[in-house]
Amino acid sequence: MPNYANPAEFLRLARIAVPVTAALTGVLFAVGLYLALFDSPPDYQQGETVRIMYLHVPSAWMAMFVYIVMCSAALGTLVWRHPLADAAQKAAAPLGAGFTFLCLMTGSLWGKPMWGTWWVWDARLTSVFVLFLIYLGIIALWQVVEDQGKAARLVAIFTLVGGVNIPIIKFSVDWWNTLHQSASVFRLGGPTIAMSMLWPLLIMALAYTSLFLTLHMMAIRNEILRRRIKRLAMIAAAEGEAAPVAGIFPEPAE
Amino acid sequence: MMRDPNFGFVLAAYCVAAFVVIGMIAGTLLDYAALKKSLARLSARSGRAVDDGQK
Repeated sequence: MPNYANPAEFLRLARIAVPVTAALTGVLFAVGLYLALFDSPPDYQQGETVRIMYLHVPSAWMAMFVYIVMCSAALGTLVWRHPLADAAQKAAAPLGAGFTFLCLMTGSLWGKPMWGTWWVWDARLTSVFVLFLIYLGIIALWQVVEDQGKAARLVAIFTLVGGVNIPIIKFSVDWWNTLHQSASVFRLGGPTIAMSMLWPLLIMALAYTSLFLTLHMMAIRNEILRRRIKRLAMIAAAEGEAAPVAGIFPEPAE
Repeated sequence: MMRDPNFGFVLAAYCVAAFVVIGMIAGTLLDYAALKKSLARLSARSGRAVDDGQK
């Protein structure tokens, strides 16, 4: 069985998988957007505004899903010391931040016509905003700690601690009185949403998931290359410094 | 759909989504292009062949 923890094996896998998942993402977005914009009916109360749901809800799911992926990668770093776990975690953070930003923006654009306000500090909105800040904190932490191994361990601990926010987001609408509606898809007793709206929503969610898988593989590949560049630059610097001292690595004649 | 009084909000939401998604894709691709260029320059200087994830 191939060892995908090996960066070279991962690069070989990504070379094959990225075009496939990219094509799948394109098809899913084309079908999902067609169904969301032209095939699904307007809501009897919200009218056409309900079409924002097909962007907002999958981005909210992805914001949490990416964080769960990062928690798994954090465990991989701390417990199993998987060679690619910290690369996977570092690569996922900007994508998670992007999905969370999209969730907040589309939620605000949906909230204004439906609730009469762009923003309210209720439990659901605030906990998602906290998630966005956590993503930004993780990105910043990677930038400020010079030693990659130390940064990986610090970020892994920070990520796992921040994971407590995920159940708070999920159950905030049940635990507190919020302006935000309660769950209508993933709930005990099944979805309460009409099938004509559920299918476009699920296809858009698949499109977002496929987009994340594609971009995540590409971003991990970038991270592997970044580390190779760093290693090569260190070797070049070491050789450049050693040459005049040792006198055994003469500069090649131009 | 365009006659809906809230059409502007729907349009704005889809524009924001397009901007964010295209931004994430472009960011990843531009990063890859820059890294590949740096890797090629360094491997040429060191004389070592390095896999850039595309060969």
